[in-house]
Amino acid sequence: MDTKKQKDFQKSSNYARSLIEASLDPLVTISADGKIMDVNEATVRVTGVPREKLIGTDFSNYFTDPEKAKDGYRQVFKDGKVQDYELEIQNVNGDLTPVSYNASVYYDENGEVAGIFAAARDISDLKQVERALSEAITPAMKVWDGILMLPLVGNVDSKRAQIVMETMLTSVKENQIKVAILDVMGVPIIDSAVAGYLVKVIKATKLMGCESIISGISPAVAQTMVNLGLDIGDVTSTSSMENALQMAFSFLELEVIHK
Amino acid sequence: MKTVKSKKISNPADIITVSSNALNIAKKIGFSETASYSISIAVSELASNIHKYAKNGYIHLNIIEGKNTNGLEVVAIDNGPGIKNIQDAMKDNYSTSDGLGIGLPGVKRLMDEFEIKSEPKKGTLITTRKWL
Repeated sequence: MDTKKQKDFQKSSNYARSLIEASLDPLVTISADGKIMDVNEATVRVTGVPREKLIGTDFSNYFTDPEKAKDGYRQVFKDGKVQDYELEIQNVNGDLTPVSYNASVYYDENGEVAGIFAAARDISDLKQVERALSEAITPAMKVWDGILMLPLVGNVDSKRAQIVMETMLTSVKENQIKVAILDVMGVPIIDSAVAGYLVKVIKATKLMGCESIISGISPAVAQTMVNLGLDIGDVTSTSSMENALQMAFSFLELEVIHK
Repeated sequence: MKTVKSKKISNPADIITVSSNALNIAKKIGFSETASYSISIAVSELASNIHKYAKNGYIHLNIIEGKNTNGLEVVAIDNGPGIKNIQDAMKDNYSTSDGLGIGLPGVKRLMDEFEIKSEPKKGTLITTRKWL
């Protein structure tokens, strides 16, 4: 290479480097065997590991779920790209950063796949909002002495089920609840996974000495559950909130009297 | 046959999205409340299976024409581990994971027709239909 070419090469290489470093998002290139080839300063910051120690190590080492990270880059090599792939970066100081990756393969001058270019975006704020929203739409109300009402609105996934479980168990303990009513009228889809979550929540509540009633089972849900072969065991369920409340009263040996 | 929705399944949110899509499409083409709900649950179970066993796959929703009536066809396809023993997988309360063991026999009951092809280490193709 003559001096001019060398200078040009150095110039373009410096330019590429400064672009990569200018990114506030953690960037990384990964080889076919899953090793980190290059990183920018943002990656160093989020992992807490110096650049020279990151390069050459397994990409998957820096995540709370290494297997999911591996699946992620394998998928990129298979499909050419992935979008919005969520992972959690673990900093050496213990801090966790939820991130969403966009990644694609890049090619060398011969048109061969050279590796993966992956960009992470910090989604901590988004996750916090999601959680707050999820908690906000899972209110637990004490409707009578010893009776708790938990109306579920929206889709129930494993995270939401966990929040429902925590909300319910905390309220049961704090308010000495004896009967909890879980209303599922506002849950658009009750498949076997959702039914499984509900059964778990109810079992845990029972361990704390509290009975549960599921209310708001519509005719469509009831028929589908039977056809699907869902057996929710000895869980008490009713179609309406009104019936559920009556059952709760009779369980507590209370009577509503017309004045 | 007209494909009205093709959805890649790679995370839990996709399962919810595709089953809501199925519910709306079924209602739109004239299925009753209960039948529409059955279809959406069948889709949800198939998509959950894809996510659980194969990690990634596709759900296609097709409007199909029969001799006398139209219907909705749900195709679930993945390149996952496949099913070793289909007869076992079609038994009630059989599950290789920690689910409720509902899965495929439940889906079969919710729909009118059910076909399954699976090869270990290659993947699984399930085609299921419900007629209006």
